[in-house]
Amino acid sequence: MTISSKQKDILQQFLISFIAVLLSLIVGAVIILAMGYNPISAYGALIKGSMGSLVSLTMTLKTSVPLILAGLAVAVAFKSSAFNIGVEGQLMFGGLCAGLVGIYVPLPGPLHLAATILAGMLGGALIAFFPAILNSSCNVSVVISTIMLNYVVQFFVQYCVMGPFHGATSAPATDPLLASATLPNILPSPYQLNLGFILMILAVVLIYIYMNKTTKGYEMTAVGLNRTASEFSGINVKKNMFMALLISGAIAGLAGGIEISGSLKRMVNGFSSGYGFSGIPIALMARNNPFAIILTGFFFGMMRSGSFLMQATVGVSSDMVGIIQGLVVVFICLENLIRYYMNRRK
Amino acid sequence: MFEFISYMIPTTLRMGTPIAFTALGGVVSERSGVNNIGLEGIMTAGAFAAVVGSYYTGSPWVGILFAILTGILISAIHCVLTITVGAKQAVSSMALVLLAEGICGVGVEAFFGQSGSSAQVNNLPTTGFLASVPLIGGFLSHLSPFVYLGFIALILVTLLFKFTRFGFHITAVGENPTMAETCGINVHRVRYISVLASGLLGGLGGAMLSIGQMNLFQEGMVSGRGYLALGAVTMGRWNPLLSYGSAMIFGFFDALQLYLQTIPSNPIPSDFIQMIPYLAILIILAVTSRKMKYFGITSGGKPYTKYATEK
Repeated sequence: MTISSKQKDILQQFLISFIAVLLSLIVGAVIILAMGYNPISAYGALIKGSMGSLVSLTMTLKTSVPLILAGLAVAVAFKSSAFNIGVEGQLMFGGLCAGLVGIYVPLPGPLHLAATILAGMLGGALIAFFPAILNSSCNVSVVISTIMLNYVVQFFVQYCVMGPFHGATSAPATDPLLASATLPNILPSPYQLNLGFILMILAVVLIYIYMNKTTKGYEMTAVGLNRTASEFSGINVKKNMFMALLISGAIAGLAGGIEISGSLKRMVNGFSSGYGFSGIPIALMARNNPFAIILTGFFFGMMRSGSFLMQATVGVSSDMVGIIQGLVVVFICLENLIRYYMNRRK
Repeated sequence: MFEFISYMIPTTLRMGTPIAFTALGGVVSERSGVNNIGLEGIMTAGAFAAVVGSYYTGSPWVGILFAILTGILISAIHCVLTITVGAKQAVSSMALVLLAEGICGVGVEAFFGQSGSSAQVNNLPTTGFLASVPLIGGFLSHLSPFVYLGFIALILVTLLFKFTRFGFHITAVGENPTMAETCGINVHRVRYISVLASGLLGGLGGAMLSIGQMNLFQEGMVSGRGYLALGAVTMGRWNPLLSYGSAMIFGFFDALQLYLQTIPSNPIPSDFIQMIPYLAILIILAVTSRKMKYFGITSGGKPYTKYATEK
């Protein structure tokens, strides 16, 4: 049986991502060694902390949900060549909107939950709307406008949570969401996995279908692949980038909504510890493929949830995960080089 | 009113100069055709290195040296990835940001044994010796030496593009690398030097934040100034003087924000006041980019290497 060129391409991409991760883990090990720790026990603790037991495995899955969605959000924008580094802000604002609806808008039964999640998505899309409109009507770079809005949102959320919506306790958080607005657990008690996990899978599948099986999604991808050619074939480039950013923002908002209504059950100031930025390496590693994002997002979730045990038992700072994250992007950038030598050898 | 002006001028210079340093670096690098949205990462690394240098030697000047070297080192990664390998420039720059933040996070714990911020170190004193200058001596004596270094950097970068052979080479490479190569210019060499120079200037910008304005390093202290610098480059149409001026406009809004916070019994919540610089740049960019006929450097963002498959 011969392998088709498309399959060969996918295999090669998988190999490149694998090599990139391997290299970053090796360089990470060298850094850990240089700081005077044992890299094997550090990585051991990382794995044990994230997958050592069924409880920690479900914890890791729960941590992965916002990461996977953040990766998906980055990927959707990437596909149409818009670099959305404002996922962090969209996610936070989505969380805020979901939280407020969950607390202050009592609706009957499952309707409340639906409204809460929907509010999160709309909130995220709203924050993505500004860079989208600035780009399509005023030519402002998406990179600059999305990142600037991150800071604006950060201060706005801080104002809301610490000011008018501050909860009864002294914690930097609002009051708890009403019970009807929280995502129920889908596993029995010691295991923590909520309905958000299912919503995440649903989002991944829907985005896959949209991007690969519909005309609109195809147009979006075409814009990312070749802007000029799409323009000449009658595709409205700006409109597609606009839509891609809105969808991206809505997914980011969904991540925030799930985190608030599923995990935290109240709106906490600064609840997103860089989920949006982790979305960039997650999407890159997965080559913007929605299903691959589940894997790479889980990988980052593993590093995050395992890093606490690593810090507690071995002493390596949990910020190490940040370095490995950066290294992954560095080595993914070597893609051209790796591919060049892979193809030359034959 | 006088009090307002006498507060705003030095504060604008103080807040604007770090952005201006980085923006000047951005101009050099982007004119050669290499975009770098990772200036934020370079500034972060520079700010941290400056504190480490000052901590171990006691001299803030050694700290500046450390910052410059670190800025060059971290932009070397960008050089290899984008110029030699031809990676997507936006992606490679994000690597710089993620790496710098990770390294500084781990570094703060490794060097200072605490998380979040470093120990206090010797910072660069203001230029008190200028107090004897007639009329404006009092004003000058309260400025950081970085402000003067910023002026010098502006003059040097302007001269570079106006009068030197290498400056012309940078412009040629940025506008048409193939043509430049045909004329015998080593495209990769010119781009390497330009990007490393932007690392140097970005490192200086970061150093001013940590040992010029304060005396320690805090995680997240750069808070978007690298991206503001990027905006200043675009707003200044890749011209050193205009970019410097744009950076100062952002410095002005930062100073305004600080001034408004000092007003007692201010009815506006401080969170909204702190948004001012970020909102200002969005509005300014929306207004200025709209009528922009000049869309930047022709080869900007495009790889020029045998490894790249896409053009």
